[in-house]
Amino acid sequence: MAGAIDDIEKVYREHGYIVLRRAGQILGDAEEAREALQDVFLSLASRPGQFAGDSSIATFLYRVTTNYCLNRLRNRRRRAQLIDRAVVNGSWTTWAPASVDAQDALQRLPEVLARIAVYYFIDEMTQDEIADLLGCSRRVVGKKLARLQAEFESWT
Amino acid sequence: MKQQSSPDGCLSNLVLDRLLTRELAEDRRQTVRAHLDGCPRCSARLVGFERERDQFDEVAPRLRVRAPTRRRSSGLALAAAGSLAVAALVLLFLRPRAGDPDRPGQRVAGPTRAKGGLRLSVYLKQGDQVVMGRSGDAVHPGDAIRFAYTDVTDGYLAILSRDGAGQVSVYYPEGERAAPAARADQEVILPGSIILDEVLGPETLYAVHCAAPVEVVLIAERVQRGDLASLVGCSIDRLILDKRPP
Repeated sequence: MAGAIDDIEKVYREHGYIVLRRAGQILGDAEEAREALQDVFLSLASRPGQFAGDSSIATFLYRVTTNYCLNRLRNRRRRAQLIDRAVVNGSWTTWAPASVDAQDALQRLPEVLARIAVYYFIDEMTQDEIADLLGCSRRVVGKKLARLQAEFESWT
Repeated sequence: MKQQSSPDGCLSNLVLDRLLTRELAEDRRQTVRAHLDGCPRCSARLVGFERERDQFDEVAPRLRVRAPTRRRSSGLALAAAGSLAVAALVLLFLRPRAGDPDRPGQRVAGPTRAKGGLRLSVYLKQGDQVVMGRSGDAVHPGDAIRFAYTDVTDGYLAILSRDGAGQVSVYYPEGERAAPAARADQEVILPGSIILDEVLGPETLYAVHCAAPVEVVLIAERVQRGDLASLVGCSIDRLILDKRPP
């Protein structure tokens, strides 16, 4: 796998839609998602060495987009209609109290659990995939998901 | 606990994206294709992702980066990433040298945070190009600026400026108090942007990061007096732009 990105424009054209979509899902706002798209690639353009080549570009962008969006949520307060969000297949609404919207939940959760919530519910990743992305064991991911469920239950 | 939130065996968004970007190995690609052939749900999701990819050029701004044309500061190596420009603002880093807080290049550390990790950056939009500039680079009325920061601790952040006429302005946040700013090991770009006005001369930008909420009016007063160092529990970073006629 290649190392540092040497053609940011190409990566933007071919992968930008991924960042835009996921930012929209996590942030719950199209305009903020466009800002997130710009900011992620601005950061990448200024420091292309961020990508070390130890994963695919798509996987790398998943990580940086998630980190960026969760940081942004923590820096502002915002409410969004849970039902209007195409978060996923209903599992989120099954777990989270109806009074808690997705962005509010992500703001309230500890960082690691918020990340896992994004990957599990929004990106529909398997526990194995999440473990691979985070560089931990599937057992750890399973435990974190159990904690996530307990966290949601404590909000009711 | 279910292996995944979606129906068992369905593909994750990451797998679908990697399929579209041709990042999957051949054997994995075949497995994915076999699943898609038998799964209307995943097939429909893939179609949606393909549509987003195909429409991306229409919905997203162009991205071009111009490498900086001048270097005045020796401390920061900027990554000139080809000829890509961004329809946003560029950040400038100033590596302060020891000396008077009001002299260019000076980082001011609060008395209780001698080793502040705060770094202020600026992205500058000039015309249709976005540039990561450097301290001392020329800017012009009408240029747009966006700010970013990194810091090693959580706190509260405000961005202010003092222009060539000595006028102090608060650029960030919009409220009355410094805004919560989480620890940021990687650069966090702040929302919103400002447009430079017609006042020429040095435009000094200050980032103030405090452990507790601080009224921005108080910070502005200290900037006016040239007395930011008296703010307790705050780190300050600064950079100076040279605003010139177009």
